[in-house]
Amino acid sequence: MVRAERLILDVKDGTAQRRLIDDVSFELSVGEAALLFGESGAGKSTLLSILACLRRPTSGQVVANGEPVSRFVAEHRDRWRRSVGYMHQRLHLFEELDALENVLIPALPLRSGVREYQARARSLLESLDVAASSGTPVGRMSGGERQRIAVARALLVRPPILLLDEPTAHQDDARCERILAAIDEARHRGAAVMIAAHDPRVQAWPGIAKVLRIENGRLIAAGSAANLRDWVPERHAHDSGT
Amino acid sequence: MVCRSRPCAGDAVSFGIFALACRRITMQPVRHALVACALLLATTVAAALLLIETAVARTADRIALAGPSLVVSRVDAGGWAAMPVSAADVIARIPGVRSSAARVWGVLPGPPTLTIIADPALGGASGEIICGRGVPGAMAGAAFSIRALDGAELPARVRSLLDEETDTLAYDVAYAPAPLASRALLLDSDHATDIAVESVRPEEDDALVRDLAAGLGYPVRVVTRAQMRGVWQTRAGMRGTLRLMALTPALLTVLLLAAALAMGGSESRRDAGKLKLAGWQTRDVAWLFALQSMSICTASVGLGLVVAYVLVIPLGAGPLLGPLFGWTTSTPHLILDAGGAVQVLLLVGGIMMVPILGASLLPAWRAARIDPADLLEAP
Repeated sequence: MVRAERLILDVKDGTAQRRLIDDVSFELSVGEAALLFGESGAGKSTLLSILACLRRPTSGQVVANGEPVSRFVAEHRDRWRRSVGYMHQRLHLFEELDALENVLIPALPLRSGVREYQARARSLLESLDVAASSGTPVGRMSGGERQRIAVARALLVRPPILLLDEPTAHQDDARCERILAAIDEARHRGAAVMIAAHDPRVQAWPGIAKVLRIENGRLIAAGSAANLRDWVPERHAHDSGT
Repeated sequence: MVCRSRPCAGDAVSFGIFALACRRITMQPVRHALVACALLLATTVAAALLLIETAVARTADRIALAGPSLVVSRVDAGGWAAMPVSAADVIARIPGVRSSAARVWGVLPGPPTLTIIADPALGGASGEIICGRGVPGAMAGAAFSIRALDGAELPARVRSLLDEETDTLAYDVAYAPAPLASRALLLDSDHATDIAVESVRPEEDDALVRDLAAGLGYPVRVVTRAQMRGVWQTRAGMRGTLRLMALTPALLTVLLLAAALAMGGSESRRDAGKLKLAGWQTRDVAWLFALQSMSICTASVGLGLVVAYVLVIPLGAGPLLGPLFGWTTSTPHLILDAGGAVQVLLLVGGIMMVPILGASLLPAWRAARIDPADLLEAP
């Protein structure tokens, strides 16, 4: 279980202080998938980076398994981050490496199970419709392919926490389904999943059990997937019409 | 909620990190090849110069130790003077002297310049000489003309040439029968250049100097083995210059490379951020960067050290002596003492590798001090 307790993040903006995350609290259970949504710049990515311990909150804490992981010293936070599969909005792939090499990155420091990870990486890429053995540097691949590679990388070591930032933004419907299926498989294995997305296909995904709405860094609403229709009626009306 | 995957235990580094380090080298082959070539050249030049300097110094020490305990030569108002061969018998009777021998030798200005040494083993009137490989025009079995100090051409025949292993001592030397050597040096047959003395106790050589000076009825100059070694010691200043010559370009090269590595750190910092995003620890990142730079460094510096060693010790520095000392004719094959080579190689290896390793670890060190999110946003 992951719990955010009164998270606040202030950053310096010139001489002034700017609050990016303002008193955010929520809970994410084992095997639960949550959707984090809000306008661009609302603080979704920043909140995910705090949950992944890529950034320390100014106050408040992230608690995982009863441990205040965001308060850990850097070395322990690094170690804890192995339990997190994180897909950054900007992907942060190694452009000169090929798809398989990029997906295997999280497994490289691990001393055992190399062949198992290689097989799993190939399988993940195949399931996400990416050619594993093309040898093409990811820098020369399309945005959609790169995005699926980043998803595969986040899933490789079967982390108990999955944080995905816009995982389906550049995908057609078929590939979006593949991505959501891979995420669902991880969820069924017990992973706590949080997805930040504008994509209505993700918002309509039945795997979503909890919805968090964030605005200007504040969590303004939290509820079940059923609440989503009330919060974004125009989008659902549009989806229903198409 | 525990991740099934486990990081490396203890300080062990996984093969995967090493594999990625190698892969990253192949991702920028030209850049890394240039770095490797620069390191290889700088290492070879620095190590070769220092090896020559060390090997020559140690060889000179060894030669000095192999020489006589003391050398007695006669002096008068004009400087050096020939001394009677009978002086050797007088000296041999002085307490503390084990043996003494009259020597006939000298330098003939030529051309060509030739160091001639009388060798009693060559027989009296044979006219046969044995030459070092550096004596111009000397060929085994061929006639050879020695130009005496008075300009007279003295006929001789070269019995054989010394092999290259004697080059260090006898490259431009001709061993001649005593009468021929004396004639060339304008010495009477009962006179010698100097007297070589072996003492009973080397530690009493200094005390023997006074007895030797007093034992002969004319002024003499006595040089001890320690003084001969001291001559080499006085060249320490020159050795220091050579060391500076050797190390300055190498240091500049390695510092420039280290600076380039450190300045190119934003890319490395971003990479460190990406790796941390993927669950790497600072230690793993440091290993990656260290292995990457060490793979290049170890290969090029190691090869440079091997090349330098082979050029100087087994090959006798021959290929380097021309460019270094301006010798345009055939260069001697120096038999150099390899003692001290390990220290030189370790010194150069350390000087070349430590700054590069430090510069390559800088991004990992910085990465440990700031949040990974900031690394990813590095400019």
